[in-house]
Amino acid sequence: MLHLRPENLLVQKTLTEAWNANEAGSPLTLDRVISDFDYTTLHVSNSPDIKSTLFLSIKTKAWQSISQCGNGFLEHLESKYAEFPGITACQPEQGFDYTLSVDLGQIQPAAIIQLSLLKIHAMSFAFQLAFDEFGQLSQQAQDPASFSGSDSSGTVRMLQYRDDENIFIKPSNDRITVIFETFFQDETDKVFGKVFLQEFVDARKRNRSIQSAPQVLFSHEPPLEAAPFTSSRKLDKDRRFITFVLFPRHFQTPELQFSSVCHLTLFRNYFHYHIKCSKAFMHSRMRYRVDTFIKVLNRAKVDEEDEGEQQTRRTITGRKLVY
Amino acid sequence: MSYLNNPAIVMDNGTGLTKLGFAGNDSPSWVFPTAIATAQRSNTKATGASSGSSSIQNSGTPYFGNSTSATSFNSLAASALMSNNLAGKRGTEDLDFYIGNEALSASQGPSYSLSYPIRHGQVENWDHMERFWENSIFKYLRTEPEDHFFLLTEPPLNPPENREQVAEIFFESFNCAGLYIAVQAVLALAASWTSSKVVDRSLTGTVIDSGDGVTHVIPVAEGYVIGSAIKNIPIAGRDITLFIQSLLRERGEEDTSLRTAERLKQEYCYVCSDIVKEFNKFDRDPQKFAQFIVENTEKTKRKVIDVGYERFLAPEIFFNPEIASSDFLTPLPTVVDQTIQACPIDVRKGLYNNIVLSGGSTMFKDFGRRLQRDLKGIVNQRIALSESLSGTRSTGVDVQVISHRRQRNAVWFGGSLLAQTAEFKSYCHTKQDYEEIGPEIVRNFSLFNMV
Repeated sequence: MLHLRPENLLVQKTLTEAWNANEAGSPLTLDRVISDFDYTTLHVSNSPDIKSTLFLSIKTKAWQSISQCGNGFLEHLESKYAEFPGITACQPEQGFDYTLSVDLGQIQPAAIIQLSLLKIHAMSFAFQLAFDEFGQLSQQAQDPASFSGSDSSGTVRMLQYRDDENIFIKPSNDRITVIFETFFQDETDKVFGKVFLQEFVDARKRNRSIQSAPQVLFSHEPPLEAAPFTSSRKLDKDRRFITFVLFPRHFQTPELQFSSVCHLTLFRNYFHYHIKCSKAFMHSRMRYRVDTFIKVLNRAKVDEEDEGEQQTRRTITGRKLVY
Repeated sequence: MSYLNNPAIVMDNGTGLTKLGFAGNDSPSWVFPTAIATAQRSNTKATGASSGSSSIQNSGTPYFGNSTSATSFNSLAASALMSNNLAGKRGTEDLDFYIGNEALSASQGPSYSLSYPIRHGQVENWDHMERFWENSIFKYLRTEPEDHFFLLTEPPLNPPENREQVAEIFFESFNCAGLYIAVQAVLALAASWTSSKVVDRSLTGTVIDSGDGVTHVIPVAEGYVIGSAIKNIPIAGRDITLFIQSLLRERGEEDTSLRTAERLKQEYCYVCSDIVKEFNKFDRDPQKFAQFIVENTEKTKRKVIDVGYERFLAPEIFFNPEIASSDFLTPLPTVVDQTIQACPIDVRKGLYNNIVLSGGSTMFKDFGRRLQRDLKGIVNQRIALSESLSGTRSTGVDVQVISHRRQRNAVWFGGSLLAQTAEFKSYCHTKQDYEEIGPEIVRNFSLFNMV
């Protein structure tokens, strides 16, 4: 319950159903809209000619900024699916950013999981560029001949994944800095968010067993790493910046890289999910409290029968009868 | 305002099953039991006294480890338990739960208990329901509620206080962009517009909604439910399954489990026009008897089960309840007739003319045709009587029962149909409206006029 899974369960389920039906010899007719976090819409539909071929299209808010990060975005996505037979990129469907055609006759269950990770794979391109650049920078730093002395730092990449929220990724020679810019529309969320973010910062200090986790910083002013993008902007009081500092141990192997990217891309959703969970928890406490208060009030009520008796024991002038 | 492009979310939380999905799709994305399995005790309120936080967090994925929180809450909770109840709450057991099919499998183990937050169509346990929604939105639908409009359903005669509770949860916990709460029967009527028999898209008609637990007959006039005339029948899907099971047991079949009975019901049953004729047909033509093969999970053993008269006898209990129950004896067509007769006279013709089926237990072959025939008989009898008494000619009443392909999830489909229209968002109450006016805003929703 605590974590959100990186793969889109619904894509996985839909494709698995389609695959099973195709194996059984009766391909499904599909035309489904599926949604994901951060203005992402996926569309699963049949090819007009061959029923066993499906199109999986994606449209996401971050697409434009990802493709501006560097060259080779589409090649990056294609390479993710290159090892799976039956999956090929094709002309994007009208209104969508990217379309994969999936031949149900050829794919394997492992490929379905990869297809359900399409959004993560798209987002991972910006991170992959940062990982590559980190490699170059650290090489330079180790080589004293070319080391310039100043802190050699790479280019900052910006992912515009929501209307007012961005991710900044900046590689340096010994670390990669990932900065989340957050903005809350709701007043209550703002308060909850503050507590949560502070907890992210403090948790590492308090607990020794998670010392290997990336360092987290939290600030109101835009960090200097993001300055190329934020310096021109007007300072907004409601904005918060969360900085994750990734060290080489967090992205040494491809598995670690994948896991870091999953965690980072889902960070905002995880964060908001848990704000909502805490609200739900507070509500259940409040309901419990109200219930107990009502019980107390009910106990304090005078029985109506007693009152009735009191009424009758008065004289006609209103004086009470005392025995 | 890019949330305007996101598809609206349609959620139909029924007593038995929850249907979730996005507007514009032809079927719900998720259909699972409205069940929640909570850690240790069914009652969250009691967890303060329970033994701190449980350590059962199943996350089998390699890239998501087990640590629930960075700080060591577990030991903290245990030590603080004695002194202060509130501090003891600092565990994460409120997040330790499963919903839907996962809940059913989790409740097999010792550490979870299962509960159904909806009883008789109405939300009974708001704590559980809130968590059920939170998980269905984030985990199953993967949406940020701030970016989407929601269409929820409610049973007829749902008290307005419940609507307000729903609004509080959706606007305050989830900050959803906009909310519309529709009555299930009205959505079922909207779903029938896909049928070719429907010529004008009116919201007047009688809805026969038969799920697992109970069957409702609900008259709707121009989008408003006539609450005083609603009738319930205690015969629904589960009773049919139990009836099949009892028939199998009487015959001494090899496998008489409820699962088998249910599969027989779904695959073999149909409605006949005349029982006596059907019995004769079966006796003359042994081809009608089917055989159903049950395999165990390992596919090592096979059991062969004969399927006989229950093929047409089981759905017959709607039309002749006396064959299965001894306390409820009114056939469905009579109940429908009584319901319509209890309505204002101006709308009765419209109600007879548009009888819409909804729910899984109305899916039997020829169910609609039989209902129409029986109901026509009753109506024609009444007309003949009044003609002979008054001596004038009646213009006649047209009885029409509409069955269509989307019957099983008719309510959800109706919701999907309405929520994909361009006007839908203007009918919703938005977060701004809610903050301006308060929860009582949801007591009124303007109806769709979809002509």
